Amino acid sequence: MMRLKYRQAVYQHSDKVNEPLLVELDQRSRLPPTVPDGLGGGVDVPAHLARVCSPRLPAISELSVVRHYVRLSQMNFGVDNGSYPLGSCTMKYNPKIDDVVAGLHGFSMLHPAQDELSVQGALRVIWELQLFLIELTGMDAITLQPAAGSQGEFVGMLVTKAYFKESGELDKRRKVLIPETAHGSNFASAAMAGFEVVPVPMRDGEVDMASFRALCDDRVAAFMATVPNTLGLFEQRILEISDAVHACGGLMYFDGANMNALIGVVKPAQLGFDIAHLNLHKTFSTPHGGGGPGAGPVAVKKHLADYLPLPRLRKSEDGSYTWDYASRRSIGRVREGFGNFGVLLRAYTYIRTLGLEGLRQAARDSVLVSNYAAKRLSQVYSLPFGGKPRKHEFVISSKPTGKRAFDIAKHILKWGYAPTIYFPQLVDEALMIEFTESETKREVDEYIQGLLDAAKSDLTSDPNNTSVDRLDEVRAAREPKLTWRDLGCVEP
Amino acid sequence: MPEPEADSFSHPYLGLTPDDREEMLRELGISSVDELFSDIPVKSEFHGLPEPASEAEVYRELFNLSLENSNCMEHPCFLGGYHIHYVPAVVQKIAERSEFLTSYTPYQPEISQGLLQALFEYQSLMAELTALDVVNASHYTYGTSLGEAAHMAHRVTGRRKIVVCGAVNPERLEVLKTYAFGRDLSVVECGHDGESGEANLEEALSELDSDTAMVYAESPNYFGVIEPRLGELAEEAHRRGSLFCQGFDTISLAIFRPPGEVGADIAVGEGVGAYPSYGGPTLGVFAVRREYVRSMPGRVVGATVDRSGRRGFVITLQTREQHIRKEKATSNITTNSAILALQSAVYIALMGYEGLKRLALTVLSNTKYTQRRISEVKGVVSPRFKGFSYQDFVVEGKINASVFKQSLRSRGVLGPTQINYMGGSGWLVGVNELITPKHVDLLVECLKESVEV
Amino acid sequence: MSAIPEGILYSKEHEWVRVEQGICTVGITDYAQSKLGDVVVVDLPKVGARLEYMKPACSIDSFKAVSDVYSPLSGTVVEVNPEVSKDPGVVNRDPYGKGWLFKLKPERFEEEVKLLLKPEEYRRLIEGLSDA
Repeated sequence: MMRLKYRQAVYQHSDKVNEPLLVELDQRSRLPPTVPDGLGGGVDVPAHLARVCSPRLPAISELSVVRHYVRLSQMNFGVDNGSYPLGSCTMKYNPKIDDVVAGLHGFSMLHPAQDELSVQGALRVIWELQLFLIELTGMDAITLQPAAGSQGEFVGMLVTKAYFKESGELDKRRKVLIPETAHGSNFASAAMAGFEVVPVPMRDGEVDMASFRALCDDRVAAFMATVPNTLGLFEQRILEISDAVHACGGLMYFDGANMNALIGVVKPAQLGFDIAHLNLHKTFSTPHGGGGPGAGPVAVKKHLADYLPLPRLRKSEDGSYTWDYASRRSIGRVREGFGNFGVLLRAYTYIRTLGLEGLRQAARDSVLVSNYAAKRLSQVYSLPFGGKPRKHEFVISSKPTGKRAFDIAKHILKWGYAPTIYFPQLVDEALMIEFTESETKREVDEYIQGLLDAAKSDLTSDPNNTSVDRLDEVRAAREPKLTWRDLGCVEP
Repeated sequence: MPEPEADSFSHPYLGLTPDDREEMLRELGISSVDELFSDIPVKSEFHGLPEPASEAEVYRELFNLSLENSNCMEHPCFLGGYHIHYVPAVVQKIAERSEFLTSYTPYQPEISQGLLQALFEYQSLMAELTALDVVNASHYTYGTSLGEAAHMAHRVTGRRKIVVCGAVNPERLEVLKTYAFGRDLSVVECGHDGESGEANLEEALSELDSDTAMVYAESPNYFGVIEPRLGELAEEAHRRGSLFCQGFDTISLAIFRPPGEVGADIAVGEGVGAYPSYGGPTLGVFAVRREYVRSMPGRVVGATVDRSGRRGFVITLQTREQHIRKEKATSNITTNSAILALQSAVYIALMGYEGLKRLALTVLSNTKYTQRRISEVKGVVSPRFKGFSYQDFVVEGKINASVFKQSLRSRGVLGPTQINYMGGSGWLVGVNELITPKHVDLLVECLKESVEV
Repeated sequence: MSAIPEGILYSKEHEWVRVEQGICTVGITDYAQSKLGDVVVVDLPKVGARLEYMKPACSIDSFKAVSDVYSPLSGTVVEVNPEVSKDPGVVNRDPYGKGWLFKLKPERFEEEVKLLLKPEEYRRLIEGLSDA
């Protein structure tokens, strides 16, 4: 089989240093770039307000800056370089048209304090995206304000808190039940909203119903679930769970980070959920940008709508849009402005180009490819809870190969990016793989073959195709060097 | 039994062909993809979602929709509170590089050195500008950085009261209150001096007590006034065992006293090098003194070496983060604003210290110029607050709001916006390096038309 | 095989205790340090803090995990080991010696000491763990 081999660019300054740091490129006597002259002539800054110590910022020619970053970019890897089957991250293709639309000046150069009349086109996109996402989740109302999935979770938990505060039950309802198979951010978000986090043990990769029933009582504020869960399994008894939580008076929270498996297939509301967040930078293809930005809209059922952040968008009878700042019950703002509009535009464009049919096919393909790869890899790796269909991702263990997941991950950097490893912590030597619908069969087969070969290879010298070899992460944590001043590149 | 789905849909974004799907189904020994969804107890129907559309159709429609908006490059813009600067072409071109834009959080560092080094440089540049030791790899916004600062101060001190001094951007204040609701913290607001617009220090000091976790002030504040007594505030906060947090404007740090010089423990602010995109995405800067690094929320990049002794970069101190520490994590933050951190770094690298200083002095000069020109309008006080102001300022007078708004609209001028404050209301004017005397002429004309003498 | 020295007692959560003149020195076992991997930060209790039997006393961060250290006895912290803050790797290199964590003055020694494990009992405990 043809197989791509990848060798990363490396710009070597010396044996010890690849591309220098900006501060090492400093040309001290360089004059600054020109900026427009002030209209009012020179103004002195009063001494008591003026900066005392000069910051150590480099002065560099424009071409040197460009080369520095082009070189750095060549020492980096993204979806546009090759497959990036990072479990739990949904690294699908980021359509270029989405970026072009977000870069149109009539969108990118809008100031958030502009009068609504001057941004009607932008508001229409927001409105229509809201309708699409409400339909896809089956909910009644939505906020597009949260900047990322975890901020969406925080919003969902604050909505829960505000809801029980108003009903007078908050003193009693302190617990949030979270299956062990959920994302770590679920635990952190519930804690940030002041709730007591109660993990629910798993059994056969799903919620252990006996433990769940023992924990489900009238002190439960919410049950927070990642669906499908971090093992790539659908909670088959989800309706039973939501009935039990509702019977106790609690709310059901849907972490939609894994929605790529279910988009256009099932609405979270019909599984009994009251609150759902979506990750537009996963399911709706907006680029991750090396860690952000994202967007984490939160959709809720009618009884929770009034608690959503302000402002909320309204459509008048004449078809114009306005922001509504009036709601006594709202949890308030969670960020300035109205959301990551640039991300929202990309997601909107994505939905428009694919349509419902395309979204559904994307979900089906992501699930098909995941089951196909899981089956093939299970010849050599172990697939915990085999026999159950996977959703858009799966977790295997390298234990039967006698190799550490860590070493395998470093080895397969040869063909592109590694899977997520050691997550979820429920599986020893875990490799978590998510191809998404974007990859062709050939790419998937190559990757599978790479993993099968890795099980038989000597991995100790890997990676040897990247701009550095194995890094000492322990040293980084023991002696944190977090700036160039820490590294001694600047005289104190 | 419903008809099995055909799985014959084809689209440029989808990798599989119908034949590939067939082959995969054969390998799995099943006849339809439906079988892989048999564990889901519900099948939903969807209405009102669009049909697939060609790229050409969607582009044309959205292009036209974008023309329905008035953008702040085409139009004179005097909106305050959020600051727009010209973004050099290099910044945009670098940020569009696929290798950066389409990468994920660099969990496998060997293959992600480019982005990791860029983030390390961002942290270094911001540490220099704020005069603080450590900067995280970014937060969502200025305001969410502030919210996290409150949580951090609570974690460090075990206390529950946040004292806010002087005129703080109201949207940011709302964000702080929302975050405070999460951890059951209380937010106490202290006013400003009616004449200068500076924080009323005496009022703030009277609020400091043994339950105060954090004292917060912004400089420039909501009225654009540079706070002159932050050092005293920081000192008093420390004397009572509280942390002091300062909000800042990044470019102004080139000329005004940075948080590190007034004794701040935490500093929060906004990134640079990006157009506003209707307010997002943006970047929240989060900087701390070294002793608080392990209490700091968010991701951070550190330098280390590889097996050959070469310098390299990794995400470090990860045990503070949610994927490891779960409910005990310093924050739930996962996705942040990495590409905007890169943009901020490219911007600062292009400008250098001297360039930022010149830019800040131009903004300062334009502030004074615009204030002076407006003050020539009879019946208008400009600036309303007499403290030393930068970039934003307030004007007050008998201005007929609806006439003024109509007048601005008819001349295609964006802003200013009407604001309320203790003892009155006025208009918040914001300037930048892009305004011209003609723009100011238009603003002055609009004001003249709207003043009721 | 992990070292399990004689002459000290162990807890089920992999702490060890050495009793000398009414003061108990506490650390983590060789088995615990090997499971944790490279220790990067030790978050010690404060001198004067009251600890309770088998409740978290402090935490240890390894490169990619965090573990609570449980207090094997109830009592008051009288001393902590400054070395482990400066050089956390000492917990890996010398867990029973220079890598000790804190000393406490026990409160309910007589009743709680009976609940601790003798070396042979601790050996059986870790042998019973699947991946020992």
